[in-house]
Amino acid sequence: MNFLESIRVSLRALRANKLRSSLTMLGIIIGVAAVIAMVGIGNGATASITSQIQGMGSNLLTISSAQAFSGGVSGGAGSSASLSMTDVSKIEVGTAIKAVAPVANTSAQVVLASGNTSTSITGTTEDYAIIKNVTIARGRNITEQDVNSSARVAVLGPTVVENLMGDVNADIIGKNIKINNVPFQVIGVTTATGSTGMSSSDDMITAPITTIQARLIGKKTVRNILVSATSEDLMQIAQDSITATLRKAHKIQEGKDDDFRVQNQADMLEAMQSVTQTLTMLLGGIAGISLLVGGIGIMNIMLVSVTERTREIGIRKAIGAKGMDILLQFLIEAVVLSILGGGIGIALGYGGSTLAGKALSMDTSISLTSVAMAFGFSAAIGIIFGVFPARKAAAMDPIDALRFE
Amino acid sequence: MINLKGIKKIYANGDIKVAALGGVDLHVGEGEFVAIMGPSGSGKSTMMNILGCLDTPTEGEYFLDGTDVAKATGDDLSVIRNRKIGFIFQGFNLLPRTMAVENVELPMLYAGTGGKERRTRAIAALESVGLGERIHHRPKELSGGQQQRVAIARALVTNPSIILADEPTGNLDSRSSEEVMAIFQRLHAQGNTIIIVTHEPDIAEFTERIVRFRDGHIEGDEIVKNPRKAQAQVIGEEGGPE
Repeated sequence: MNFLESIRVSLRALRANKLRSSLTMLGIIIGVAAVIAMVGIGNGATASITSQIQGMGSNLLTISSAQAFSGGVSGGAGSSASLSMTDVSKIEVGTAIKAVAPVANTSAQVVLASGNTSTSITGTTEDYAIIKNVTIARGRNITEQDVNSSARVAVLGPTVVENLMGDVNADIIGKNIKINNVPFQVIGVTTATGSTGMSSSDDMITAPITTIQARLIGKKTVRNILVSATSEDLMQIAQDSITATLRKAHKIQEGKDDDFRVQNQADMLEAMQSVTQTLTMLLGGIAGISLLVGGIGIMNIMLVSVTERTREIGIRKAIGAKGMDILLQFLIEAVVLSILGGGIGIALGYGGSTLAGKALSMDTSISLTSVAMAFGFSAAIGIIFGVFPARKAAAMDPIDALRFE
Repeated sequence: MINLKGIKKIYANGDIKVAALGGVDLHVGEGEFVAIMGPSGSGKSTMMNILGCLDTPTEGEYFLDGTDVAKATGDDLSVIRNRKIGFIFQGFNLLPRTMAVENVELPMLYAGTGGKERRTRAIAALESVGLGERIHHRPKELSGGQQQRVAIARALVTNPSIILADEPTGNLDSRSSEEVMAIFQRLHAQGNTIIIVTHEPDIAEFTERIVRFRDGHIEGDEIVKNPRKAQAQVIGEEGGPE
């Protein structure tokens, strides 16, 4: 009997037992759907975290003050106020460094006649926009002169505008807003970047750092200095030169620890990606176990099916079926069940992860590899778990099989 | 056609050895219509299994169509059964949930016959047993007599050397039994070799030769002087399941 006929015979047997076939498939369907969905969601999470970190700026180096010790107790990173505007001026733009901007931030209540909102306020300089890849949609950016004169001007993110005026495109330029009761004049609105999370430039107000220090924070602290390297390859050079500059500026003797910390965006990215990848593998692994259970389900049902159809096997053998014919018939049944289940599972998993992505408002990505792997895996499961029952069927003695009631 | 020499079949159950067949010689010529009779435990079922190549003898030679099949094993036996033997069982042994025509196609499927030819020959075989109108019925939808006729169609569709029937009328009422025997008589008239295992003397009367088994040996081998003629007037006129 040729292979095509074997497939036809197997399909007919599966059709004859629709309920059982679909219940058997259910295990594989759930397993594959879980793998696809979990890996999809995991990949989506990785991608979204990556884009969030990259959204913080390109080739970004973040300098923060190191932890302060008082009486041997660490206050944690940033607890000492070791960074100052002088440091900012010492870090010079050059071949490795594209832009430098200090950050002093706080969050505050913002009030306009038509509404109010709570958002984060970033005191910085002109170059902040360059580092963050933010462009000005309307109005203008803060300037060096604004910083020097501690002007009470503010550039708003589009989300802030929407929260205050109810419309992103509302005319807000020139209006006065109150940030913690300090009046600021709106001079510009940034272009929406679509980024979300803590560091989203959409839901943020930027203002001259000097103004923020004086009016809102009350001290001359620089929380971070953001530095954009000219290229990814030059990040290390930029980092080294910053370290040298700041050590000199802070008069740190050789052998003593830095009182500041330079964080590399690439390192952060790597660390975060390794976390999410581990999570993805974990989720995928758990889902993989359910796939395995589904495979055992197939084996279980196939064994029952072989026993139940002993008589059929006897008839087939009596009229000329060889061991291989019977083996193929049952093996193909198992493989068809698992592949069909795998196919449905892929569709369900795709749908599930898309839905989950919508619910969590992130893009999920189903990679072709994970689809191919799930498919191959389910086919392999069909073969692995189908071989045992199929061999059992093929090895049956026709006389005993025919006598079976 | 069939030549058995010193066939022994010994079943070992632990240390106890039971000889189901204790050295049987039997010759069945082409075109014969034979009934094998005997009480239960006489060895006739074992004989049937060996004749049908479902089982091999412990000792002895079995020539079927001139080739010794006594030593064949596994898949070779499958091929022999497929090409040379047509089986008919007491319990019909049709595949459930499978149309009559597909049941009849089954042996040709394993012989590797092409799909179109299979269908044509299966329909022809079903027509020859008077079931041309019921090719798409499933076994459940057929009466016992009709099911057995499907089984007969399945047995003869490959033009086997011998048709072996194991208690073919055991599950049938007398009217259906007679119909089935009428078909056998017609097949015999067309030159087929037919061997029937039965314990019913009135069924054996339809055949032309009766071989009697007792305790693993042939006890008697006689020619039926005047075989009873089976009446088959009702073939093809039957209604649904009885």
